[in-house]
Amino acid sequence: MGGGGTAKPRRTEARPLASGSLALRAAAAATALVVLAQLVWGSVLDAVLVLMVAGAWALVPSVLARWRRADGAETNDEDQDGGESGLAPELDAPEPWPEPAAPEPYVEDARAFAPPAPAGGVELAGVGAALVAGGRTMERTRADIERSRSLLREAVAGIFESYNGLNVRVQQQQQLVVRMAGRLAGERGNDKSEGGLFQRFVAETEGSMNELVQQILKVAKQSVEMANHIDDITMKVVEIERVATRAQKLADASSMLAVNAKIEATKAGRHAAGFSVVASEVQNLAVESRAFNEQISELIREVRAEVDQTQLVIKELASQDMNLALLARSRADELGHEVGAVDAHIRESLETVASIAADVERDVAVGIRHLQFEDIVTQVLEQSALALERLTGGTSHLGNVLSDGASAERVEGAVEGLTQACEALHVKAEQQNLEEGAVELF
Amino acid sequence: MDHIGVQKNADGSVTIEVGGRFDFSTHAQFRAAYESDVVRGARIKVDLRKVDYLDSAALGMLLLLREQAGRTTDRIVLQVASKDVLNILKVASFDQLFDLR
Repeated sequence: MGGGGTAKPRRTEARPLASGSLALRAAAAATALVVLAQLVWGSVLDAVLVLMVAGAWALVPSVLARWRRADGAETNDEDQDGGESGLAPELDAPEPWPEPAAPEPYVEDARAFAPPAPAGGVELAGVGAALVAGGRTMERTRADIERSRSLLREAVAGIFESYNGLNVRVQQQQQLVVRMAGRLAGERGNDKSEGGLFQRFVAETEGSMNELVQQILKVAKQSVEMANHIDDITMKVVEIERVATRAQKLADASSMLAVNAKIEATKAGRHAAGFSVVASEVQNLAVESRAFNEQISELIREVRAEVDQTQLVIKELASQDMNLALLARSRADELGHEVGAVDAHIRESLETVASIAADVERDVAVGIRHLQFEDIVTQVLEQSALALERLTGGTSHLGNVLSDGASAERVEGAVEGLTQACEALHVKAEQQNLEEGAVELF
Repeated sequence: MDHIGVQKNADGSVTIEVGGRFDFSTHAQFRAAYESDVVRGARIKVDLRKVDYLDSAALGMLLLLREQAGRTTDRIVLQVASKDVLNILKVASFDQLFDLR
């Protein structure tokens, strides 16, 4: 610390020198501990108060002793005051409090107002410089605290923002999941009774399968019915064939009769010439009838061939392998089961995702609540900075007074001012500690 | 050609027995059987226990038989032994139209 560097006065006297440098070391150590405490705890208040009181009281007796020595006064007290005060008060700060009673007689002494000897003045000037340097260090520490405060404020504000952003995104994700789950669950407007999307798909597939099977059955039934009708037609055609054959036989018989009539007409001679002509005509008719019958028979053969062809086509229509339908059906059933399982799995996953979102929301809320520590820390730092500011003023004043080689009264006034500042801050610190304790319960 | 037989039972019902492949080729025989005088008006059992294959034409024939029998008789009994045959009848929802045994 700066106090250590500047606290090297010219040494003209051995004993005061020793006690004086001890006191200076105590002041330097106090300042160092203050800064250390600030770094470790983030709050310098307690450390500053304890150590400043200790440091101040460590300095006072040795400063007063310096004057006494300068005046050639008794040196008996010195060992006690200077030799031990440099270390003892540091370990146990409140002890020096009864001390102020001792220096009082010297304040009344007229010699105390006399200007200090040059040698003592140098020592005091060194102490004063150390105090001033300590004050500067405290000032820098205060600036550090202020900077820490603003850094903390920025960081916490950033964390707040990112937590809120996280929350908003998780909410959006939650909404998406809920919407998706709703769609999968088959919510279409106000109709929720239809079951899941996949279940609907399966049901529709099954419906289509049944429709297809029923369609096949319908075609098969109608085809068989048509085949029966064609069987009837075939029967009729056979009947026609039979009738045509009879007509053919009649024509043949007519032809035979005509031949016989012609023979008989020839036997009768010229008197039966007309009859012979009639017989010839009858024969011609019979020949024509035969030609007709042959035509009819030919047509009937053609019809039967056509009918047979039609029966084949109908057979094709009617005969569907039902095993294909069975296979398709069982595949659809399998698919339905798989889809159902997938459906259930998706729903389960979505529920899990939804619950995770709720967890994140809760965690974020907890995090944000914990971020309120920033308020407390900011307050503590603010108090610390204020304390340092006041102590800096008191310390610098004391330092200046000592450096200027001022009167014992002014030195005591400055010490008293510093002590009161310390006392005020100490009371305040205790109150604050209580408040903090209360806050921690939230 | 697979055979189709008709026989009258003691309880007054008539059994139409079908064996082997029950398909389009048997349609004329099957029709002759159910349009015979013996079957008309009687309670009908169709014995499919010896059938090893049946296609949609056979199902169409059974539907025509049901139509022919009309509402004058109770549900027509189909006697089935083969699981394959039973599955096909079920795929066609015949369990809702016939008395499957």
